[in-house]
Amino acid sequence: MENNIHALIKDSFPELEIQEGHLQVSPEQLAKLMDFLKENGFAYLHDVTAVDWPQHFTVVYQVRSYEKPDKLTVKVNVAKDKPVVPSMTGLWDSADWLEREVYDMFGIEFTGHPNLKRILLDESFMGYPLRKDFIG
Amino acid sequence: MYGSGVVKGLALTLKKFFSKKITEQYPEERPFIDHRWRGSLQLDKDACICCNMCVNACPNGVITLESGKDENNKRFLTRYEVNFERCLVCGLCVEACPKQCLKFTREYELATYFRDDVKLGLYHNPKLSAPSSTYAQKTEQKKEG
Amino acid sequence: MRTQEITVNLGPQHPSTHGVFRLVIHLDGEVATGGTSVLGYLHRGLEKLAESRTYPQFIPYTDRLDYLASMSNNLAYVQTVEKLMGIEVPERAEYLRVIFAELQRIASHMVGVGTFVMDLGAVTAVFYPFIHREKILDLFSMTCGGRLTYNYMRIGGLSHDIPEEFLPKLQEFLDYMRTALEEYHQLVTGNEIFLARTKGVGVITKEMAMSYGLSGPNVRASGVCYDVRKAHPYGIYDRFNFNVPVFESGDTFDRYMVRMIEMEESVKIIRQAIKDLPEGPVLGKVPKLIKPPAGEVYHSIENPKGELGFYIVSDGSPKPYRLHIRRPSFVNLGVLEEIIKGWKVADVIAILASLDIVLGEVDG
Repeated sequence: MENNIHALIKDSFPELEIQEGHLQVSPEQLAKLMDFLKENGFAYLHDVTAVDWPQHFTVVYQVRSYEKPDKLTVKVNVAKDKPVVPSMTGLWDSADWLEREVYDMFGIEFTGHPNLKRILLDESFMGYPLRKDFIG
Repeated sequence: MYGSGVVKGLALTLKKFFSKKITEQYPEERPFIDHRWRGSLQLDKDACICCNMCVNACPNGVITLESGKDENNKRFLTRYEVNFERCLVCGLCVEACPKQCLKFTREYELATYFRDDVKLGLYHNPKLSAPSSTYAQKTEQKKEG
Repeated sequence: MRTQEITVNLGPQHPSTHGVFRLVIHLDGEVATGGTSVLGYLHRGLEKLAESRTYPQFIPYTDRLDYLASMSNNLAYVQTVEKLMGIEVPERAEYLRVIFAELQRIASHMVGVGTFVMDLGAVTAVFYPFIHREKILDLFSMTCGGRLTYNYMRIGGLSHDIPEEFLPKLQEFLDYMRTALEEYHQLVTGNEIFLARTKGVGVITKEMAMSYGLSGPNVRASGVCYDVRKAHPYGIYDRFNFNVPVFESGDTFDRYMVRMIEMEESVKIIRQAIKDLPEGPVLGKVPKLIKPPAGEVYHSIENPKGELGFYIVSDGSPKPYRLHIRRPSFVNLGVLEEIIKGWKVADVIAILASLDIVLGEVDG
């Protein structure tokens, strides 16, 4: 089952490497890949989060299927000085709040998001608390 | 028949109305407190070896421990305070204690009139008279069995 | 006559929001035309706090996520760390974990259905589930000394073995549960007023449920058969025989029914677990200092509210480099703004209650 979908991704995106269900893509490729995954049964955007590494941010998507036991982790590295990723709200509605949370905590911008505002913190809050250089 | 569902429900509440009451008339009636209850803390300060295990185990850093050394180079306690305001009552300190001198008590009425009273000065007031809990105690098996 | 849309604040301090949650409802007369959720009143920054705590020290904080299902939160977290470090858990601990997680599921669903019916105006119906839940809390408190924040699971097992009187009491409770659920069906499920208030109200279609990433009873009420215990079995759940209730219409009544039936299934699982419960230690061989290798792990389990996931990035130090919590209530609540459109204010409250959210988890 799992290898099936891996083979399918390999066919359409020969330049990508899947390691233990992890998939590393560039921000430019992300929209195309996600569109492809949605078409191929990954109807469940389970989680969106980010990690603050010393050189870059990594946005981590967990995509899943409701019917089949397929799981994939998609990772995108974005630059620190201009963290921008395309929004997935057009594909999954659950991306709305999950991306807002990432924006709230990391300041990563999701282009095409209809309502990119802080969600957990107040609008007047300064800084992005889950970044490592945040001083509370 | 329409309305029979409501009648059935009312029949149940009527039945329950005449059954045994389950509410406790606190504070006249005291509730049963389990043996492993995590209430307040007590400290056997003579048994304490000042190893700092409880201080390091605490997620919130609420325990302050200060010690001195006597002529035999043995550590003794000079100060032990628990800032109970920020305590999560998680029990990690009690579990960490190698001498089992830090214990939970089975007290449950922990509200105080003054904010300062929330802090537990276990050095001056070790609260050894309070009923102790068997939480994370090795002797527990004997006591309960 | 001039008419205009009015805006009403539901909450933040309002009993029917089940915590501190604010919903700004736009009303045309008595009918809601839309809403805006405002959250974060209970945000404590648990993910940031985790970065300055060691791995075992974070367990008590997971209690405070979904505070009606602390045991399940503990389980999700410790299983994630175990997966990261490759720690083996003793058999007895695995079985006890299943027993406690399922008891917690019953307790959480009891509050879920109770408060849901209360929000429809039937206050009697909240007391019956609370009586049953009290018996579960007694079982928990005799084992770990807490009634709400248990902090019972440990990395590699459990903090305590069960006391001697636990199993007889549990057996007694399971027998009691059968009559308790029958009574509750008699009291609520057949009630015509209840049916009129819930059938066809707040429908979440299958497509909507999938797009909004719902999980738990909410998605199963919309015709999607997705249960993590079956789809991605964790722990020893593959050894048990149980059904996953699925309903088709996705209205508030179906969400209520899924929870009621899940409680019966949980009782079944607990009975099987008691039958096979082995003897032995409850805490496995764990290093004194928990220091996972550098790497990352994602693990999720079926919580009463939905799919709770932990994402941990370790840099090889005793503290997590990054810890993210995928909180089911937070994701489930996202659908609310969409499904309240066209319903009266009283129904909006029923719809919110039927999603069964806990604000400690929504805000993290």
